[in-house]
Amino acid sequence: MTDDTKMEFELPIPNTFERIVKLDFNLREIWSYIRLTFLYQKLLGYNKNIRASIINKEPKALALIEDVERLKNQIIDENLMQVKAVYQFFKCHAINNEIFIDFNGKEVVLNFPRQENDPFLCLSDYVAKSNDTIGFLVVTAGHEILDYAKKIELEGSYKDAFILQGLAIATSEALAEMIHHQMRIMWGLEEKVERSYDAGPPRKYLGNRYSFGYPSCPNMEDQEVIWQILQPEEIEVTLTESYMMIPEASVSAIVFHHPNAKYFNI
Amino acid sequence: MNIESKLTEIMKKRILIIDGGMGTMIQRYNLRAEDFGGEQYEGCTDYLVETRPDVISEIHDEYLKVGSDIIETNTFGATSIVLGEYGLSENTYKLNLKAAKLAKEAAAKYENRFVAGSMGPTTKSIVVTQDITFDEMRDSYYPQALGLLEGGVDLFLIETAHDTLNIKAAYQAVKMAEEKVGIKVPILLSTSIAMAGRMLAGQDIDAFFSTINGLDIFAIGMNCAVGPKDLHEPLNSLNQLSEVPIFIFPNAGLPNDIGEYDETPEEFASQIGKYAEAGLLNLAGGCCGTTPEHIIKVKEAVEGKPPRQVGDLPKQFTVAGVDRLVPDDKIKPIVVGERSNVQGSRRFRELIRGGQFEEALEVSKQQVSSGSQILDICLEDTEFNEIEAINTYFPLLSKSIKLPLMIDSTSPDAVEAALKHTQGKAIINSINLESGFEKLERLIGIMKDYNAAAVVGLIDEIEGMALTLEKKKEVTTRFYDLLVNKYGIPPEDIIFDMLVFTVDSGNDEKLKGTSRATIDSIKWIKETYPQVSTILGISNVSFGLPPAGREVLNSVFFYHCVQAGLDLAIVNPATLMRYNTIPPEEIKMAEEILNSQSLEALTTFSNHFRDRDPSKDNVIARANMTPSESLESAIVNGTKTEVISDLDELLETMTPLEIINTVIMRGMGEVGILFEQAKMIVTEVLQSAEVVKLAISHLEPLMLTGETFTKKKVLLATVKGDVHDIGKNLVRIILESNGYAVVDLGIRIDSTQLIRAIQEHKPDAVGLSGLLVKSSRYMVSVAEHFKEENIDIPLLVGGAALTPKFVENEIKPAALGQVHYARDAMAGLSIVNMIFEEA
Ligand code: B12
Repeated sequence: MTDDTKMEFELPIPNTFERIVKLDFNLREIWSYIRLTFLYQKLLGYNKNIRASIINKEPKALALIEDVERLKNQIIDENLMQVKAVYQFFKCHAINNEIFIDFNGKEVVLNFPRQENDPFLCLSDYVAKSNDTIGFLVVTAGHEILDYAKKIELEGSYKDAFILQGLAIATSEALAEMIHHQMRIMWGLEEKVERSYDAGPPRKYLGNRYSFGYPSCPNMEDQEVIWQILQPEEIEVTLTESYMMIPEASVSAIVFHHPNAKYFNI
Repeated sequence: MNIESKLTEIMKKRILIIDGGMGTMIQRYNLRAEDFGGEQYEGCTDYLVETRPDVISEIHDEYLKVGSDIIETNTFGATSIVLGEYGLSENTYKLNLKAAKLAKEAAAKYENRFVAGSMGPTTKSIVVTQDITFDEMRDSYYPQALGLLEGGVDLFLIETAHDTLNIKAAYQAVKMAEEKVGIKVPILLSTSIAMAGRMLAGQDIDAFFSTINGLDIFAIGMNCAVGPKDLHEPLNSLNQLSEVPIFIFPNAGLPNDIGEYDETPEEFASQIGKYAEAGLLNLAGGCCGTTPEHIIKVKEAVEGKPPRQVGDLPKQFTVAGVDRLVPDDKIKPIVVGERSNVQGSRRFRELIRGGQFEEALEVSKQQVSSGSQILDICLEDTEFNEIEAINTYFPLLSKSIKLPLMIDSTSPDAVEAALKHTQGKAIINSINLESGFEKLERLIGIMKDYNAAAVVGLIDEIEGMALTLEKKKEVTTRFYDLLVNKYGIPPEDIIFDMLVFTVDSGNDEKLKGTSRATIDSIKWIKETYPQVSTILGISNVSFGLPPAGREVLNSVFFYHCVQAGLDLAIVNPATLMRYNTIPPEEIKMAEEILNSQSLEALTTFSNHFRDRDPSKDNVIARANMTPSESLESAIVNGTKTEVISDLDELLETMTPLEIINTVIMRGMGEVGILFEQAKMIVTEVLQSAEVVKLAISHLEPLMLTGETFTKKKVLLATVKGDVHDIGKNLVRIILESNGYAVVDLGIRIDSTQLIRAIQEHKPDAVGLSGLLVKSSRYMVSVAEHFKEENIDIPLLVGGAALTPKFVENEIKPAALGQVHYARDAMAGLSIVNMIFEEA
């Protein structure tokens, strides 16, 4: 254990251990969590800094934003996107590289790789040796919006189809961010203030969220564990033989409260 | 004491209670056809005041008993339109009169209780379904308003509104009735905001507020559609906007599966209590699904909680279409698109003259996509009747344009006709004193009736247009005083047009110095009257100069006006050059002209630009292009309007195949180059691909059997275990629009399926996609399997987890044929182009 992973704080307790399935969302609230650079630069291929472009009134940026906003309105007006989420907290404790999760009295184990060089980090370091808790989430923007995009693409609306797909992806990512925010509130990690739309979603917070397949926890097989304990089939998210999620615009994650939890490469 | 002061007095001390649902209560009586006066009237609850007045009185009484300060008349649907569905439209006035009297009688048994004349949204909508005109709507509300007023209502409640034009029609009907009767009572205006935070017509609470803010309203609020919890955000927003009292009377939650509302009185009231606690409310009550039991609880919940207090809120320019537009200091000025103007755009004029309104709409839409924030619309022409054109074109606009509109006409009748189709809050362009006071007053009346802002031109009846700084100051001061102090127009609804004249003033001494005067006048006005806005038609300044010079001069002039504080600019954003890309010596030349307007400066400037082409981004007037140039530029610019006519012209001299292989492929080639140079972005490339698709689908049926334009065939697939579709779809579109035939096998495809497809389709290349590391590894197996089967066609691989190194070290050694790593879809295109050029 490094200095960074010491457990010198009071362990938070979530206000419920119930499994929560949520199907009813205000899309605009989710969208307020979208990072502009992610949507415009990474997904929609805008080739300059989008914020600077907005300030400079670059016609290309404004036109693209107008398109995105038009399609967002269409999504809402025509009810094109069925977003869903399932999430839950579990009691757990860690020994060495393993986290032991209490799933209805049964123990489910997640084994994480440890860095081979200094500082020798491993995700299990972020969990206490006893009486700790951990969260899991699976969210999806649903297959409906992707089906719709495909349909209009075949009809020749290439641009709109592309933007809708980008929006679907950005929505799944944003929803993961929003549910994570919700889970921090349930843990009592956030002051229970009403978040105003203007201030935007918090970008700095206590704890961290990791998705299987990303560098700190590269084993995609561990997705199985999430399917065992969260049953995301109920929100119509299933796994392929490579543990990829169907529909494409879906995200799974494991949520830690440890204040020093950070991203690292194995 | 009149009602308004009485209410204001009570509302200083506490939150007033409005009653609950009427329909819900009527249902409790299980009424039969006889109660409604026969089968043909069954369900017409508004008719019950005639057939079962006892029921209605009893319901009023129940609500009064539990402490409702305000009860609503049973007239939600009692307009001639809705009653007409039961053949009762003749009875509109009578039923409303009766309903008002019933409610008044009930209220009279208590002290200080008030009756609100309920006016529902009707079953038709001017904007959304466009199944009724503004005038018909207003005339349908009028007998209702008259009946209610003569029956003695203390207030009007225009409620459950979902269409901003229906609201204005109802409002005008009330005003007409008030005029007729000679009494004025407070108006409460209530919109219905659905789950997604918007009205049926699309406005959110901010846009709704801007739309009605200038009307003479006593209180504003929301009802119906959702439960109290769902009003959190809109209620907060409304609190930040409104200086008049605020109310809500939501439903008892959302309807359940069988259409009933089941939020209990406790749940319902506790949320309203929270809003009251937060100081957000002046009045509260209930709508569908609420009952006297709910109202008791609401009364308890707000008891002792302080009513909302409002101080002065900052005032600023705001207009709205579907969305609200407020100035943003970081991105000044607001851009007003100028091309939907029959006087300024030849193309638009030809389309409107030819009755091609749908095509004209494309012009307006292009203005939206090129960055306009408001659209200026002018249909004033000598060749056709302006009002008829408005009545055809504006309904189209309101269906597809969400931006606020600026109605550009010198005729008050035309302005009013346009406003009857325009949702949100529009701008009238323009009012002035050129034709005297009568016309001015008419237009001011229209501003107030429809809550519009206006551009005020600095033109008076004495000297005409104000040219010098002194004259501009004088006319501005006079107009400001007239409009604000005499006619009561709020300063934030005034946009002064400081007037722009060409710098090329020739021998006209009077016009010397006008451009400097314009810039200086903006600075002065922003200091003297900070609440008003300013607007300029930028491109006038360079009228008569060489095209390339015009862009530079416009841009420099624009820059200086913005520095001086300009709020709105009428420009074509596509033709403005970025100031910081103009060479310094050209900026100097332009500034010299703007400052001196001297002949020397003008000559130097004109000579410098005489032979230069305007910048490439600009759409050169189509009239000067051959059809093949025009089609090529349509592809590059992604505009569809002219494609078919260009093709038809081309078909006179070329075969479909020739058109595809020369003009269309050249266009897409140009797109590829512009993308490489980062001058186009992906979405623009896709828009170009859409044009190509349109062109090809027009040409394909005309091709001879057996003829094909596709160069080579590419098989695409996302590999086994992987559902990544999005990146691969992009690759398909790009290849197809560049003349490749693509067979897309879809997702989760294993090597056996691939080999079978290769045998069947005989492609010239295979493209593999995958998002995961595992998929990259699987691509190695695919290559191996191909080798076993002796398949050596070129392989393209792409996807997020793939790296050039992995392709080099792992996939290439495993394959028999060539393997190429494609960073993105456009790179994939260059690769296939390269492969097949070599061959
Ligand atoms: C955006 C993103 C997401 C988005 C959307 C993913 C998507 N469908 O594109 C969301 C948030 C949904 C997401 C989710 C996940 N992600 Co992710 N994601 C990314 C990210 C940051 C960018 C991907 C991207 O740009 N997509 C946009 C599309 C348009 O681009 P593209 O797919 O790359 O396609 C272009 C090119 O690659 C090329 N191309 C692609 N195929 C082909 C084929 C041919 C023939 C040609 C010519 C060209 C070509 O052309 C395309 C268009 O220009 C990458 C990391 C990175 N920097 O690349 C990680 C990444 C792909 N994700 C990863 C992971 C692990 C996941 C999740 C499994 C995490 C989880 N547990 O939830 C899920 C999986 C989703 C699922 N359904 O199971 C890993 C995968 C590595 C691995 N371990 O296998 C990556 C590589 C991050 C990493 N470095 O670890 N992710």
